[in-house]
Amino acid sequence: MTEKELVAACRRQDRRAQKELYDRYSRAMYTACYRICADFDLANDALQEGFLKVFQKLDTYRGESTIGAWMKVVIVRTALNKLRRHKVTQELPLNYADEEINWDTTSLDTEYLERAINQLPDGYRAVFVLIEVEGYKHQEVADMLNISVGTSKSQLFYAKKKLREFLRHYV
Amino acid sequence: MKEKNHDKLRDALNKLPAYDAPGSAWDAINDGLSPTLADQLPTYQPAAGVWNAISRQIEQAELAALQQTGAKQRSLPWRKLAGVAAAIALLLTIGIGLNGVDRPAKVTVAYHQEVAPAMTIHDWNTEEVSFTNALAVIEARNEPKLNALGEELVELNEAKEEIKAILVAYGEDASVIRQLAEIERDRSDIYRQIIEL
Repeated sequence: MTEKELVAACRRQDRRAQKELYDRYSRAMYTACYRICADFDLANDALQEGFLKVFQKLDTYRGESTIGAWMKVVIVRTALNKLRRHKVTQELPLNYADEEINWDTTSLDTEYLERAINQLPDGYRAVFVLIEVEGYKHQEVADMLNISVGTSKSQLFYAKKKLREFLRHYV
Repeated sequence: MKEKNHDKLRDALNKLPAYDAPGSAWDAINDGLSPTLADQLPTYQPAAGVWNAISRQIEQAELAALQQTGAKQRSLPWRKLAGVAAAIALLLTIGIGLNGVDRPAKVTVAYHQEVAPAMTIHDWNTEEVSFTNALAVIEARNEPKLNALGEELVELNEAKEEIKAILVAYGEDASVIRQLAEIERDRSDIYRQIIEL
């Protein structure tokens, strides 16, 4: 079944098609929820609530992006709402344009990196994951988190700075 | 912000593990998509008379509130009135005193335009066809119980015409409109009884 056929069947409330769509995307969506929430239980709740929203709102999908991209926005938004603590962390003003972050020439340990990401404050982690892992633009992140583009950029900088510090401790 | 060796971060991020959702997740979604018992059970429309009863009670409460306000206004204490009168007298005295001072005359003209509301009379005849049809059916069936209801309906129709004439002659007075609404409610009660028979 093509994606278009699958979406059409889901719109008719065909339960088998809905399960098929879930099977195709649940891994990617669950991982995204976990990256944002840093908690498997919370990620599970977000996934369930998010997929229900997807099926209930499927009539509003206009086909302007892929179904996967559309679903991810719905589910990521649900995960951010679940987090409830995603308010951006206030920092003292700093001219971060002049700051430098050096990730070193040696390879980063994936396991340490994941632990370090999970240790980030919720607001930093949300911005870092959405931009660096999920590939959203600052404008999209600003819309999702209801913040300005400038705030999104500075949050990303602070997230990276903190991540770098954490990783130094692990090494 | 300057970033050195960003490719190292990118490589590591690409290697981050992915996770499978727990098996129970789909069951929960499936449950959420299935209609609940409440969705499956039938729903019921209350009898038309229920709204009439509610409407009557609301009107009675409004009337009681209006009467209470009227009573309060009537029982305004004389001492208060005397105080108000004294204050007005004092202000008038000061005003007259100030007027005595010789000042150049300053004339201002104020005006205000208002749009008069259109003279419309509420249409109370929207349901008349149903009542006429009901009377025709009663006449055709000629059953004692229906005939009694028919007579009541005719009386109410006549009462309604009288009230309408008063409305046209004296304008839309609130108490007359209330009477008309009361008649309409009684007529719809009788109409419902006729339909049930």
